[in-house]
Amino acid sequence: MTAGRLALAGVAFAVWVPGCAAPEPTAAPDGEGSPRQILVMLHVAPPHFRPEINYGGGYGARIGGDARRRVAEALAGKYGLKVVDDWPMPALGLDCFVMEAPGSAPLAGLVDALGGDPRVESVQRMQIFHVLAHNDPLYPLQPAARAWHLSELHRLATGRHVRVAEIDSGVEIGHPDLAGRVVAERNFVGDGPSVAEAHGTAVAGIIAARADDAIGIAGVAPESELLALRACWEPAPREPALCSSFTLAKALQFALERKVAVINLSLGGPSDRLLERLLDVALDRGVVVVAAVDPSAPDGGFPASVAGVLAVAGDDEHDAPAGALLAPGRDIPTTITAHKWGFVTGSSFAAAHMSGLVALLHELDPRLRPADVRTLLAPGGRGGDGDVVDACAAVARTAGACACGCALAHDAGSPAEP
Amino acid sequence: MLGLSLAAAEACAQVSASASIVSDYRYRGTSLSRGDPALQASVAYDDASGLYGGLFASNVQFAISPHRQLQAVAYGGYARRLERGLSAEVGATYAAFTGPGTYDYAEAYAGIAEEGLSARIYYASRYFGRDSGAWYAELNVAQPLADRVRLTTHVGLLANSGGDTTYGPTDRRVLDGRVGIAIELEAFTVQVSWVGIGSTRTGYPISEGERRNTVVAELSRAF
Repeated sequence: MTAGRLALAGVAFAVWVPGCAAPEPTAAPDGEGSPRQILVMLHVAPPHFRPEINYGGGYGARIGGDARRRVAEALAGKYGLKVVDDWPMPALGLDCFVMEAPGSAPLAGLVDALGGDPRVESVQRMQIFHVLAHNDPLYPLQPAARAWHLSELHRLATGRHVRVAEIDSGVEIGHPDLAGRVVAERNFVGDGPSVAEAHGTAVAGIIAARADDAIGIAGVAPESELLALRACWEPAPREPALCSSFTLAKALQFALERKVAVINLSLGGPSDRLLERLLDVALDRGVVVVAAVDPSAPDGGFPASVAGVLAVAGDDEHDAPAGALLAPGRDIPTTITAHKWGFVTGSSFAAAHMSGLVALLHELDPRLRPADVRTLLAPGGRGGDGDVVDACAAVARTAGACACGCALAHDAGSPAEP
Repeated sequence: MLGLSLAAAEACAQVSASASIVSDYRYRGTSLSRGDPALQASVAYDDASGLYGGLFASNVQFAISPHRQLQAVAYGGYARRLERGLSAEVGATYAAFTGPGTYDYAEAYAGIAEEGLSARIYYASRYFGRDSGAWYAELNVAQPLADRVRLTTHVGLLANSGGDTTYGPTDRRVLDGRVGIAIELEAFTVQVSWVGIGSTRTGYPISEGERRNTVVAELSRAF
């Protein structure tokens, strides 16, 4: 075999390929997560030897990207779809393409047909998720900080150097009580910069608002490093925010890359395979995932019901699912848009409390794995309708020190220190 | 050859190609193009099973023969994802050269990688067609600096077995390194790297007196 023949083979190979040539990609539509959209996952080869990179000492970030785009366009052409968007998910070894089906033909057959195509790794519908909150600003103030003795906890830990990813609607990072608290902000909804929205701003304040700044509230983890990842959008003012499988997957992929310690998901929706796979990777890597219980779902909904995720409901809920953790979730004062403060209620905000608390525990013991965290928060095992979390006891156990007036009387039956 | 093309057409899956111009074809720290620019092209096929293969070609100019020659490398291997974001692979290459001289050689390799980092070890029993073999071990790290800018670093160690080779005095161990910046533009990638090597007595069919250290620029396009 001579070099000449080898090279000619390569040229013939490359010239033959044009059958797969692709038109330019189309622009993204205005609305995220339309009901006519599906997610098509294509394999990405694991990184391997490539002479054009290795002999050149370079890197090939775009290697295969054009090839996958060609495959996606070919699939779209074959099944009458339009490629709308795509995003690499190296955590799963996949490239995720959003495709839209025109007209009104039923999608189920299309999903099955695509799933059977050997070029496709998996397919799923694009799904919509909603944040879990009520708007009841008229009830009297009952600060969550009092229930957890927050200022005493803060003598032991404030969440310093702990990265918390808040995957939610937009956060008002210019809010005076959030100044300097957000270390990274990304918008995964459409293009363009993030916007300030009610739910995301409220959750951010509960987790990480500045303490001792003589204004507003003190977050549960006031020195944690918050990543404000906008994967949800508020369709109109005062309407609950929505999120899609795609926007959430992008935000989770980013949180994994940034190696956060905690991920807060104050939202719920249908079981979603792509999101479940990403959450499994997160849990496997030791990331603590906190999710709000969906009160309308018997098992708490998704992602709260995923094994390993900390499901959190408000401690005023009567019908929390077994195994859920309970935290303050009613009449919580927190930051809201336009540099103001207001009261919020809902399991979204109980989850935010829990994420802040986990950040405190993580600062005290960075090696904690998700299962250890759960044991620390509710050592008594899984109660029938949720376990109230004794923040003081959890922090004291983790720190191996006294907290909250040195009273571990809540700790039923077990010795204070090993 | 035809079978390969047909298979490509049927799958139309994960067939990629690239073309590039480099100011100096530095292979493991040694210039194979006598310090002159080179044109390079490649095609690659990635199968869902983890099998992969491809062809790479570049013009080379060995000092021993004054004519320009073509190097073509055929390669194939198997890569598999493991836990915790790691992947492992094994494979082999066959490098063939046009023109006079018998520089053709086969090489086998194995390695592990993570996104942005790879380590690989190679062995050829008749390196560049000479009587003796060589091991080569390398570590490559790519670090994002900004949205479309990366820092690429490479360090490699060539271990020549036996003594001096048919191509002249040869050191048993030669270290090479490379540090560069890669910038992704719309359709092209530009890379500028500093390449350095510890010795020119590498046992390659090149002449003495080639520059050891140099700056290399590369413009490439992926398809």
